[in-house]
Amino acid sequence: MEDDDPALLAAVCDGSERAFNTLIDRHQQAVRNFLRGIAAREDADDIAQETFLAAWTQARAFRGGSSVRSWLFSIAWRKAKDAQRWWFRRWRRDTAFHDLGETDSAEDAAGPERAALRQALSSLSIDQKAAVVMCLAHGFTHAEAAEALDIPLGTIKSHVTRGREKLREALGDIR
Amino acid sequence: MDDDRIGELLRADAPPARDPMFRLSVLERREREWFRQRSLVLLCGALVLAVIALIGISAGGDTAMTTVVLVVLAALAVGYVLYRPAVARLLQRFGF
Repeated sequence: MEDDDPALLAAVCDGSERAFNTLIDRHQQAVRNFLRGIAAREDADDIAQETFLAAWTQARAFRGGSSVRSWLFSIAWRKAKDAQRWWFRRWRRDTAFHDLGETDSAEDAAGPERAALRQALSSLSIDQKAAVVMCLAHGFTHAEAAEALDIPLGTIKSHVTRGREKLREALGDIR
Repeated sequence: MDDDRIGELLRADAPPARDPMFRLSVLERREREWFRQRSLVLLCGALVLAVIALIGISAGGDTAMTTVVLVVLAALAVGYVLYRPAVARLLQRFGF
């Protein structure tokens, strides 16, 4: 289905609403899941919306050297990094503290493994989180992740190795 | 624990595969962005026209001629703002 992504993006360039809707429907789950892994949950959907808006306005910038999904992830990554620097989001995150508490306790009840995973993820740097989520959850190769995140290949490999070890440790503890 | 299980757990937090509400939020946000940009351009255009009018009138120009020039400029500006994507495509077609 994703073989025709470049054609879809070409149609987006020509201003096709239908193509843009299809692009969102096809990739929203992956992009949002990626962002939930690397950013605060209450910011993730906001950043995902900005990502698709940027895809609409910058569709002509897609050169075809990578997959459309990889291109979308790279936009999402830059947006997430920008968001991390933005003090207002931190303030919003603080005010959402009570909601977060409720979410965590709900997750604890749903599955201790998921709760432990979230806890372990929060101990990783944002670069490590991105590398781990892209490679382990979304099937990107190290080279693809390196290109999308604009991080050297060797660094990506070490991020994935260390991140994986931390997650295994955390998940091993609850067994 | 193998990578597949970790990947599975990481994906467990994923939103639904079909989420029309999310798409609508993106489209609504795009509309808001367009509206904001258009308002800003129109406001800037109005300011520029007001300045030109002031300069024209204070320089002793013909008020009727100044009005005609301003109406034409305003029409061009509004046309550009409303049909910007089409104008951009047209310009691109001619190599600009």
